[in-house]
Amino acid sequence: MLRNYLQVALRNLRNSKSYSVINVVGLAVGIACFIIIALFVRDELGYDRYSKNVDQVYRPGFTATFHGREIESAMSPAPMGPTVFQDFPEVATYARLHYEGGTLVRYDNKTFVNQQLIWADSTVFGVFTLPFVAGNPRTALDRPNTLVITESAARRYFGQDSPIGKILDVGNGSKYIVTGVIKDIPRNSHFHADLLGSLCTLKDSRNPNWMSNNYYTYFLLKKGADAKEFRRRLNRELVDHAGPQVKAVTGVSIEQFLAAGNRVGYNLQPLKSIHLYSHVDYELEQNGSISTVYVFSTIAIAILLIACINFVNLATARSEKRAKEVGIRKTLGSPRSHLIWQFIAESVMMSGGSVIIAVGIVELLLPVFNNVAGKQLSLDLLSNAWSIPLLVALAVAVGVAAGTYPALYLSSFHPIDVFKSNKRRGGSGSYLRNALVVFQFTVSIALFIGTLVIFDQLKYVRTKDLGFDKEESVVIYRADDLGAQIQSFENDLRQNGNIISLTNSTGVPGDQYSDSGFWLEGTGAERLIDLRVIRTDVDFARTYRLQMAGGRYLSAQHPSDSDAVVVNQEVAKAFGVKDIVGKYLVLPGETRAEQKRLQVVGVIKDFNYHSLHEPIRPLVMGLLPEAGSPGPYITVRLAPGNHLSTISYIERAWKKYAGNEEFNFNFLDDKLQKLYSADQRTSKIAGAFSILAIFIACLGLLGLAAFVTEQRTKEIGIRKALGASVPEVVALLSAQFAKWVLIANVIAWPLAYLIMNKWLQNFAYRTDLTVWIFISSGCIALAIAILTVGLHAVKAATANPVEALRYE
Amino acid sequence: MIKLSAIEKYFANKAMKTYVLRNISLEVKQGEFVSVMGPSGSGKTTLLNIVGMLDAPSNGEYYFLDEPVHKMNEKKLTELHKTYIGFVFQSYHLIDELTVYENLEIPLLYQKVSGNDRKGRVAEILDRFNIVAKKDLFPNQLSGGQQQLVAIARAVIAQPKLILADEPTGNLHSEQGTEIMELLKELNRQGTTIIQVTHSETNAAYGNRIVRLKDGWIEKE
Repeated sequence: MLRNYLQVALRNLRNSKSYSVINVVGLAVGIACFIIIALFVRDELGYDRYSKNVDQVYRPGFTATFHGREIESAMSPAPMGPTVFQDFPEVATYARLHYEGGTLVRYDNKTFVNQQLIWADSTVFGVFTLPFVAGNPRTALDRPNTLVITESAARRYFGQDSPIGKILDVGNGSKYIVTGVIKDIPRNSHFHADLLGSLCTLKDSRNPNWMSNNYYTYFLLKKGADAKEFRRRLNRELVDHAGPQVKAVTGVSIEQFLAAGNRVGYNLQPLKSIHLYSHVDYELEQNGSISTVYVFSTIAIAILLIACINFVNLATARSEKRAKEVGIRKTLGSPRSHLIWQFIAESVMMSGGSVIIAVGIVELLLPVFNNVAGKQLSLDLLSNAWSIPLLVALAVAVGVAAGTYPALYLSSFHPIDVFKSNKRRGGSGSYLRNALVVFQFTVSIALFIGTLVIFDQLKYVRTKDLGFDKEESVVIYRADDLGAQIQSFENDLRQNGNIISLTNSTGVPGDQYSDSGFWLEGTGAERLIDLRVIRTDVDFARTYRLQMAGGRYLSAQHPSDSDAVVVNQEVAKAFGVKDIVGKYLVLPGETRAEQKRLQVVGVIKDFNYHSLHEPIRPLVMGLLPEAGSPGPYITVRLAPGNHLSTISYIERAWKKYAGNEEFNFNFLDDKLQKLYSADQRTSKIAGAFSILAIFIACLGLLGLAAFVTEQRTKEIGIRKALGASVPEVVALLSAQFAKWVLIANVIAWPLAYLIMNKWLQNFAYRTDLTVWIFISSGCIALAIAILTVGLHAVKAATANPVEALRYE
Repeated sequence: MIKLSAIEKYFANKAMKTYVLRNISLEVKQGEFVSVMGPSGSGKTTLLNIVGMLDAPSNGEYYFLDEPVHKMNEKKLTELHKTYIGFVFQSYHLIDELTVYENLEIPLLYQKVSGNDRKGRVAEILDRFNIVAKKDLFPNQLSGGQQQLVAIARAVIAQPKLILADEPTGNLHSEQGTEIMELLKELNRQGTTIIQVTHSETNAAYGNRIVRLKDGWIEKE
């Protein structure tokens, strides 16, 4: 029985090659997209799951509302971890991380730049599952100046030698002993490091200040602990401990402070949701986003649906070809259920074949996708025991999903209807078929519009006036490593005629700046506002071509400027004062005596020093101290012309003072572009998939067009016999399909508008949704559809009418 | 074997009923060879379809081997007709994608005949109909007469008690037609009941009884 069915199925496939090719290719491409996106989604959802206790680990982050402005950060104060561990019975263990970033490692005359260093409590291995290759996890980080390094770092530094007990030179000459080697931190972790240094090395880790948040604290709660209750208690703990400190520093009690409408507390982020859900300030790394996961999942399912719809449409359209078989089998005694199974089995067979081809496509395209998406996904066909069963399940699911309706439809034919000749079949399903084609094009057009909107926004991002000049500027990193030599280096650069100006600063646009609470003198500390802070030399405004809204920039001509600041317009707005120049800002210190009064000497026009996802926040800019601690960045503005020679001049100067240290630089506009790398990835992926969606939809249209023109052969013959011209016939045939695409446009436009409007909300600064995007997407879809159909239409229209009429 | 009483068939269309069969009462005994004749549109094929359980009457009662067909559900009907009835059509209705051998096999598959048994019976029927050489050919590689031969072979292979033939020679030229009629007559001699629909008096003469239809009524016998 099965053999008989198989034979019919295979011979059917062979006898109608174009139909089979359309179906199998469409399904294979659809399934390949689905598999790739499924791998992507699995990877995104799998972040931090490598830790055994992932469900019980939480990261509190400081959150507050100061004067109506909200702050949300991933960091918490140094004393929180140890205090809470001691006081809260539900805490099994805790660990703090302190981010150091790229640092220099020297060993045996070899220098390694940009080695990622994170300081960690000795308990870190009880919170995160980081298996040891050598050393003892309990004691590895319990003394100052000890290091645990990853396997690949160990190989880099020591080759085949055993790393344990070796002394490494880290940063500016401090010596550390390697006490452990761990396996590399998995790719899908929300933090990465080459080196974990013992946190107790840092004196600051023992500071008792609850008001400064510079640590990432992770609590492992005991099973059954109530996270909500834990968070409430954390917030009480903050008020209890910070209260006296606030009073001591500001003279205002915490009760007064809170009564003024301020709010302080902690958010509590479960470890397993950090990657996709946490988007606060000072994240350890750029996280993913659940909306990307949703968007891609939707695209994957949509493409698979489009492919399945092709199958349904072509199968029902072609039903005439199978109707006779159904009639015969029924008269020979086949129950309907047998026929249903026969047709479903056929479609499962076809989807099985498609899955096999899809796996080939995936293997081929995955490296490209990985490159674009910044991932290392693989199908693990052999290594993962689940891969093959899942693929088989996918084949069956797709086959059943695509095959059920055609099976029910085909098997419902009644033999006596089938055997009555001249009855046109495949017509009765045409409403559904039209609706499905409209659906396919709706999805394709919406995807297309979405892609264009993303491209448009990215173009806007590239070209928007940011309030500073990002062109022809080079940012040099780690300039603070030059120490006192920085002056000589800067002077060397100033000699070059192609260098217009340069500036040293603690921050450049695109980076996270530190923040601090300030209040305006004359108002109380309860009117405190959190301001971003950078320190610069006097040339910052000139080099970045910032514009003053009032007053002047910091200047060497004014010796008192060491206690002066320049603020952006947002600061004045935040404090609610019209004219802030001449007023004093108060910066609290460790004690009241250490409080600082800083005079505002100028207001700078707001500039986008963060990504355009965020609104401009209040910023205060002060001078770098005269000597001793330069900022890590030097920005150089180049004259138009040959940048390469100027850069090599800078590099030579750098080598002169920095010795072996690597010259690390970046064009400012390139650096800023990296803020949108996730958006660019999304746009590329969405673009590729929307093209594929249209491709698959057109494939289906091609099949349908063939069917419809065949069906209308007689009509065409009659019309031509009555004198219709070829263009008239082509127009007649194309109009039918054009109508569907136009209807799809009408549905897709508002849909895409709503979705893309929502997406644009991600950006504080965004492009307008122009009507042209919608119209051009519609026209492109229409053009592609008409081209697809036109091929068949022309063939049918140019055929000899006698041929068309002969068979009737 | 077959007993129809007061069978009616009509198509309801808005307010109007179009009758195809009116008050048909007919009995066919085992071993008969009945020819149903009548002009186009007189309801011959509809009558045959009702007898073959492919179509249901609008009114009236139908007993097949004393069982009430008009009361049966779909499953029972399928069971009954696949066991007892074979069909032969004017346009043969072989499955184009299957070879002669595979086409012959189908009724046996639906009757769940085991593999070896099936092989034996197909071989036997190929032999009996003298088409062994054609067994691996597809229908479109055969002439019309050969296709009808295969179709009859397929109707016979399940050893039905009744063969229903709807203008079996309608698409054949006369020589082939005669062969097919001889074959049906031979089958009838061996005990199979046959009901055929035909336009041709010559073909009707192969049977031993003629039923004439006109406008849905039985005219006379």
